[in-house]
Amino acid sequence: MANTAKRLQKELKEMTSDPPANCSAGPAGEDIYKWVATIMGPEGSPYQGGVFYLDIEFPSQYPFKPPRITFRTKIYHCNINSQGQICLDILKDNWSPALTISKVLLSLSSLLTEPNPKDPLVGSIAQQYIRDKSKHDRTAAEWTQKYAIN
Amino acid sequence: MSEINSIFLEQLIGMGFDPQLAQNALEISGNSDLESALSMIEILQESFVAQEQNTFETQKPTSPTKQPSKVESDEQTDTETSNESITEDSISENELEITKRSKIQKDSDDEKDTEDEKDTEDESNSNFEDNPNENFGEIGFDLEMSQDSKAPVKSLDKKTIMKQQARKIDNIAELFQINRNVAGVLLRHFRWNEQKLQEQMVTDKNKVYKEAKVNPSDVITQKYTPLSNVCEICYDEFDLKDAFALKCRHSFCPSCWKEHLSTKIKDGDVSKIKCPGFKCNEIVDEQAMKRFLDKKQFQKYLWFVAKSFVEDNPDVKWCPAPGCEKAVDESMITRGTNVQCSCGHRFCFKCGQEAHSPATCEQLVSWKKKCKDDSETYNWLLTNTKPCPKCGSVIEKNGGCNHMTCRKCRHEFCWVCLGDWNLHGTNYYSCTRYDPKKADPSVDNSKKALERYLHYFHRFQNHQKSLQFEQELRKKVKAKSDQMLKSSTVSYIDVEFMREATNVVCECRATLMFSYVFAYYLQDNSKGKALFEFVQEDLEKTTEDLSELLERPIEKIDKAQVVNMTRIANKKINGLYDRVDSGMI
Repeated sequence: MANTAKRLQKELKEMTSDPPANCSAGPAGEDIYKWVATIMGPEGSPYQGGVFYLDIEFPSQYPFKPPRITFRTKIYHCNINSQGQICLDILKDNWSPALTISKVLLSLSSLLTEPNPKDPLVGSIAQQYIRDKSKHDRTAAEWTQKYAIN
Repeated sequence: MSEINSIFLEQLIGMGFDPQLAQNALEISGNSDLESALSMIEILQESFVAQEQNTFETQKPTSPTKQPSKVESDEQTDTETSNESITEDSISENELEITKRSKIQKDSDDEKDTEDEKDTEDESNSNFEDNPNENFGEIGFDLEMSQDSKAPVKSLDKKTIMKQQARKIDNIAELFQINRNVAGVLLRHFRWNEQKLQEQMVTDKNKVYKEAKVNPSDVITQKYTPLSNVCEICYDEFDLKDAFALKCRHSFCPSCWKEHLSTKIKDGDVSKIKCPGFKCNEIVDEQAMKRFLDKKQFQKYLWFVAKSFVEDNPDVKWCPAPGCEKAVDESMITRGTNVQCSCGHRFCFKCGQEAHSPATCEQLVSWKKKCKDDSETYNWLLTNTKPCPKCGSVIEKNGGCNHMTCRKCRHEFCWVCLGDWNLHGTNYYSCTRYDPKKADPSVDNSKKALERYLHYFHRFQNHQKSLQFEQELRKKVKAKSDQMLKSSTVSYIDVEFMREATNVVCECRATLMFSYVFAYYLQDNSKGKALFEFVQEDLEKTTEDLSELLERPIEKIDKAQVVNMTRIANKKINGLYDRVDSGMI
């Protein structure tokens, strides 16, 4: 427990002194176990220009157990569903205690650039991504405009 | 009498059967064909012989209580309808048995002398001394039991499981000259199928190593030091002198190593504990486990590994009784798919639910669904869980992703269609095999169907309730007999018959309970059903008789009668299973 808090403090320090590109994160309030984070829609992706808010919850066994991360901003993406749940291996079976929130946010950012339609959470979006990428990108951009800008 | 009937009847009489018996058999079996009539005759004869024997043996010893039991009244009616040839048959069979038994009695007289004396003391009211049947019953019963009931096979306990597992690891390690850790990983990868592993190792060693992600050159004796003295987890510096690293040399301080491993142990996720480094596939060996875990945790680790040995092995199953840590293997199956653990718990080897033969696993599931349609728990299970399509473990979906991996068998499947995940590579979520219309059980609202269901349900429930009472009785009998044994006025044999009787009556109840489930799924008006219902009714009668005998105050129980009835009941359960197994029903 104490170690978890210590490690979170260290991560927070690193986050503020050397933040990863296009991301930010920090505690939502007094509780060090509950953070909020933002990811800027990566350039060249249909999410460009949007700001996506995320909730991060750290379990008491962190970093030996992965953090629980959900998208608060609606996003049109085959690996993120309407509840904001994310299908990403490193947040599940491939979690490693050597990972940090900073690295996870970077992974999420690259997931926005490169969706993984082979392991989809929303099948219809994945199918569209494969069959008609331009239509997919148009819808994604519309959603970004609608939900993630302002 | 229809025409067909008379033709069959003549044929049967021509075969030398009694006309009355032949007619009865034809009526019960539905007049349809000779074969089922013949098997019905066989059943009738068996049941008469059993009952005649009962009359024969229960009437002779002057019962201490002299209660006119239900058995006797039944017999009277049966004898009335029975025919001479059968009675003769049964008597001659009885005589045969007597001579057989007298011989046995003589042989075992010497050993039994002392016990017999005690018997006579205990039951001084009766004239057992003069009545050789008392002993016959007992010896005959013992013989019968050793044939009918399974030889006492022991469940595998913790120690045996671990030993068996260690032996397999040693075998592989020795055969391929690899270290035990590697052998363990390989065996786990092959789900403890030693033969398959050996075959593949002989064909292509390197492919096997690659698939299981191990390196055969891994030697435990070699020591590695971490690359840096800053822990990658807590970012604290640590002393490199006593530091530990796997071959990958990722740097973690001892306390983070400890935490990482114990978290994995707590989660029970031990199939492959890897280095905590990101995307590092280096497997943590037993030595490292021993080094970082405390004794209790290490034991737990060994136990988990041993558990995987049982869980991955299709021939071994855990006893599902709460608190029981034993496993049973296939050889312990008794009747149908029923198996009994040494702890006393009876369950189905196939599905792990309560022992439900003669009903099948599918029938049980469908029956339970029917019975508990409005139960809260059931609804919850239905909406939140699905059985793994491969191993049947109940799986709860705890995340959004539909890509499920079964914790137990590692099968990857799609939550929506329950199909193999691999097939989704190109299909994605079209999930063509999923049809919501199909999944919805057709709701049968007709009153008739409901009445039919209630008929079976009430009988099922009735036996279930009786079984509960019987189980209470079993406990009481156990307590009582333990007490009697302690007082040392009686020997083990004097009380064992009661335990056996309560055991058998419990089995009768369970069999009857599920025989109603089985019958519910049988087609109405089929000749198989008529046969089954007859056997079922017969068993029911015997069960009630035995149950009634056991209801008496323990001091007033007539041993010979109980022993005999137990034997008959046991025979009748076997008869029922034989008929189900033979596919006649």
